[in-house]
Amino acid sequence: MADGMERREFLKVLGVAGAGASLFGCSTSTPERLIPYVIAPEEIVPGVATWYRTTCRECPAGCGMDIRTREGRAVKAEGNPLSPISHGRLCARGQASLHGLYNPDRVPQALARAAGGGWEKLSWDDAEQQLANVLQQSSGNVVFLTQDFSGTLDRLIDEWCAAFGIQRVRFDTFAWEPVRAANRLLFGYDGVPTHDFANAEVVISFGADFMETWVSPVDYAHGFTRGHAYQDGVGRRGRFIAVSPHQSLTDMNADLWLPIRPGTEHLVALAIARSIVDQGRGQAGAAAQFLSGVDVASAAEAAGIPVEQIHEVAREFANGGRSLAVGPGVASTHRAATSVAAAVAVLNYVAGNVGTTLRFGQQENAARGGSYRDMLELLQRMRQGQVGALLVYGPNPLYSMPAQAEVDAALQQVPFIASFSPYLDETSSRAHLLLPDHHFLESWGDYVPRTGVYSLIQPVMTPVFNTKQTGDVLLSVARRAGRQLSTAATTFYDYLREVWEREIYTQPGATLAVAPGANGPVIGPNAAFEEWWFAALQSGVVTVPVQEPQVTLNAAALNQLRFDVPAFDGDQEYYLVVYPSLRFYDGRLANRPWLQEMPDPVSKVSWTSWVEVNPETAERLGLSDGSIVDVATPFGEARLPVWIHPGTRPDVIAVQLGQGHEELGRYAQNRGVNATRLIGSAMDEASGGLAWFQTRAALRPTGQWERMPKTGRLTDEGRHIAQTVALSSARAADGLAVAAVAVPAVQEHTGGHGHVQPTEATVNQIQAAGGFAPYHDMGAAPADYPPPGTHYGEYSPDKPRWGMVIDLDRCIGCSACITACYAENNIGIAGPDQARRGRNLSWMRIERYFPDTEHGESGPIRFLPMLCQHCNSAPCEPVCPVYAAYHTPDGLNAQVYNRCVGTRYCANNCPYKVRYFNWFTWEWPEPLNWQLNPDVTVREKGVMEKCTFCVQRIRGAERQAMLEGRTVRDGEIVPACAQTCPGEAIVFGDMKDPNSRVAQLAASGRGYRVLEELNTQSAIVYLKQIVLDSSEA
Amino acid sequence: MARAKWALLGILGIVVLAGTGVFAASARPFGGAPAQPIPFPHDVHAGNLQIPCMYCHYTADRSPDAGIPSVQTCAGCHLPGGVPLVVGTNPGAIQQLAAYWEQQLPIPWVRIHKVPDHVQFPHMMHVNAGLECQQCHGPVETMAEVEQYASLRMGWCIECHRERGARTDCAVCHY
Repeated sequence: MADGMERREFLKVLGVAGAGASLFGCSTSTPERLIPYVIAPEEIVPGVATWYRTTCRECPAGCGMDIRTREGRAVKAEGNPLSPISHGRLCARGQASLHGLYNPDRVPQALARAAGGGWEKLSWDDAEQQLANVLQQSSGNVVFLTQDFSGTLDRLIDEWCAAFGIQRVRFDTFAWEPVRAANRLLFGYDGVPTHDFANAEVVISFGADFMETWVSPVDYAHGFTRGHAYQDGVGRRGRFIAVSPHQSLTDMNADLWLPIRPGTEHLVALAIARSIVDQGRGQAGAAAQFLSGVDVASAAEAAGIPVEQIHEVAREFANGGRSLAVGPGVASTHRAATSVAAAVAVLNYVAGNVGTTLRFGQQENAARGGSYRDMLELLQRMRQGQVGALLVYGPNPLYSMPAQAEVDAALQQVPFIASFSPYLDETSSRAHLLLPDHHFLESWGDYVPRTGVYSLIQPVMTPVFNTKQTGDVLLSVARRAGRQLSTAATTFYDYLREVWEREIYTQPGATLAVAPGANGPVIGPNAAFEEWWFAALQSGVVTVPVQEPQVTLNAAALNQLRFDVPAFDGDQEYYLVVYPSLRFYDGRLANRPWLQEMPDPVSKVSWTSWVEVNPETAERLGLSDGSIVDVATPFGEARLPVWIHPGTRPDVIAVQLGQGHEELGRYAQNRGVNATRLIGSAMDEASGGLAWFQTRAALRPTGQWERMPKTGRLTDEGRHIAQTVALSSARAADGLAVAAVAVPAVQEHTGGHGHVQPTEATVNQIQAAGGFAPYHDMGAAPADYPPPGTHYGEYSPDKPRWGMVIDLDRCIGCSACITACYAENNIGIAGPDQARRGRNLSWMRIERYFPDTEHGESGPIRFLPMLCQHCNSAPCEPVCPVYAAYHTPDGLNAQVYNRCVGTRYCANNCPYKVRYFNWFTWEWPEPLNWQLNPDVTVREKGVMEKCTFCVQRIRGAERQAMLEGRTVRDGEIVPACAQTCPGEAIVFGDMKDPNSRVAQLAASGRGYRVLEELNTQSAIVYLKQIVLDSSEA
Repeated sequence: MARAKWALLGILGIVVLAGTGVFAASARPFGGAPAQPIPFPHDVHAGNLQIPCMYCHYTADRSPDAGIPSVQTCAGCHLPGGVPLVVGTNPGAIQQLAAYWEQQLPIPWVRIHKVPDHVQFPHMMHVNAGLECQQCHGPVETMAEVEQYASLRMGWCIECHRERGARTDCAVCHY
């Protein structure tokens, strides 16, 4: 080009020619088509969402759910605000249920095992006939293995089994056997009662991960934050004490963690109960004699904690019936787990919680499953050839039981296995006949999450694949085999309606859940069933009043239990904790790419397994994050990368359940390790439940290292990003009476070096150094918008200024917001290889900070949701060469995708690191792409993206308000993250409206903005997390 | 040498453009009227018969999408009781419609109006702001074959938004 032609000119000419070529390309391509309906469905307005109410079935909790559909496809899951289980919220698993519905690895139709070993396609007619024939021929030795379904489906299965003479065995991986057994022994009550966390000011958990998987996590997390978080202006703040050798996410939220020696939970619980009695703060009642034999000092010694701590906890816990002890959870289910549950029951009894925060009238459904022992008995019979045919609907024992249970050998002895699983999991891939069930979002049904709460399940769209609802299959097979059922119904829908008309509609006091003041279904007391039924479907939930029974403690039964430290297998150095996954539950959800992509809330590792090791242990063995070790137990061995977890005792290591699938499709297979392969089949004998915490393990460094797909850092390195304030200071700031504590007795994380209001001088200094400080209006509030000196565009004082308040005392780190954000905003799934390179695009992330002991920090573990701060003075905006990053008149930091050329300057300049670059055009394998939100652009390679404050929801509400000739109401716009947050930590609204909730919360004395010293003037106000003053403990 | 290169590139460009028909200037700036699977005369329906636009494009005032009439809507008038009611001058087209209806197949209309990618265009806001459909779609009631009337480019949008005092902020349409 030396001889005259400049590079730019060359590109110009080439550009014209290129444009011509691309036009040419267009003219030969097929024209775009507009495909109309043949018959337009009445309930669908194209372009407008239609909502359906149903019930989440991703775990046994049974949260009420609202599904947003567009043009007949489910695009987003939210909680049903009328459901007493979900309170309008969902966890990450519920959010990801759409990835179960649209999973590309679903079994697409009925299949039979071919002679060569492959699969042969079957029509549903043939498949049902095959099953009917097998059942006709092999009567007497058929077993139907199911999970606990509750409600009408459970009843149909029972009735169907009776008609065929089939034995039914129930099996759930987590069936809370010890809690049920203890309640059976002590109160004559076979189940798990409802726990009212909202009215519990003091909570003690003995290894129950009640914010993650334990019994009813959304309700419990919601109640917990209501009872525990600081109430501005009121000054009330709960206490949470975690007693466990290894911190789960739940335990990380505790105000006090007692790292007890493994297997001593029951000793500590009884010691606390004894101390309460000794201090004269509770009624020992029937347990007086038993408790008189408890020695607090020896319990403290066995547990390895100071005896004063037990007395102190006892003093707090005796709270006039407004406290709650829970446990054990899976992680603390050792060989004496029933004793733990019994000790917890005694503790609640002594503190007066029975009947107040512990409600026996309402039994949690999760409690009704079978037991591990039942399952072992079944496997024994299978191995002995006593089972001629096995039908499996729900459980996946080949994956979820320890190898020692010999599920494999047992399955091999069964000549015929039929599975109703919608996915090809470990167990169903051994089947001879596959009759894939509909996903629950395609099904009719009901679910009884707790006594007196009836939650309806209705299809939200036509089935994605050629599957068939198992209820329908059962009815059809009974008909084909000529078996008589109590009903003439030919579909499960009819059967369901019959049951509801006969039994639920007629129950005295049956009430449709109706939101106050909402235009929900209004129905007279004497409505005909037809009218009532449709109102019930709109409401989603029907409640029936439940009487709280009088329960008495049978203290004599305590003598049947052993209250000593249980045995652990092996003599290796470490105790091995295996614990359930917040993301995958027992592993059944490992095929949801959103859940694989979401970093684990504790370790922040995605897509793989890891072993959690105490920092001291790691230092001693020369291990760092990512060091590969061999974990060896008497039962198995696994090679895992290390993640150093300060919340683990030095003598404990921990591996999460849920990964290591051999089947279950592309997203689950061959990732990480199945932790059940590391434990044996030992039981907690008193309950017949598997003792998950049963063995010791050796840790052998291999000298290798790998880069894990992991985000975030362990501490905020002294930068005071997630701040705390002492309860006394918060109360003082609220003008509330506090004990005369001039200086908080605890360390507060308030401001760091340079955390002062920036002065003129500092700004000049920053500018002189080439830094960014466009105007000198220091410390302006989020409501001060538009910023002074901005004279262009449409900025005007009457525009709203959208902002957010995030209460760190309410954030439990559960990460439901992350998955909700992925679902709402079409965020690409980067996968493990790109995640390892730090290329995942999580617009929202939860920073998890341990106290930085190296910098002398102490205090609680802090969680901080980090998303685009929508700064008034945004560093990303002036560096964009094409004005793709710019500020809107209503205060959003917008990203215009069609302007963006991908220089990534903005991401470099963002101090919060919340801008994400699309390194690739991400793929959603059919039919995962059906989920994409049509209101949001799907970004492609080369474009920068970030949180938009759900601008599509803002625009939608603005339009609606405009059409109705009004302004947007406060609370009308709810971003996806705030919508789903079980802790109600996130509030969104107009900062400029002094009456808006967000503006009022932002004025709290606890408010601060992250990296305020940079003068970014962000639109997100965080409320500091509370630390308890030791003087008030 | 430099000049030769320029000429070469210029010729290359012209050849390519000629092949695409860009230089074939016409009175139809936006691609003209593509052939539709059934020749549907808007001039007859919206013009002669004075059927309101929203009889068929039934969601234009309440949805971002204007709505494409279902085959049932066509059949409602043209196939009363399932028997083709031949009106007008093109019985073949009615027979085509009857065939779609009989087989319960949708009619694959060719799309004419499309705002560029990355634009969120809500019909209902514009209809409810009092705009006539014709302001953007042209005199459809006179078109035997509908073609794109306006450029649908951003400058064209902005011009109208400015005139009417509607919002012109990027993130009103682009997100």
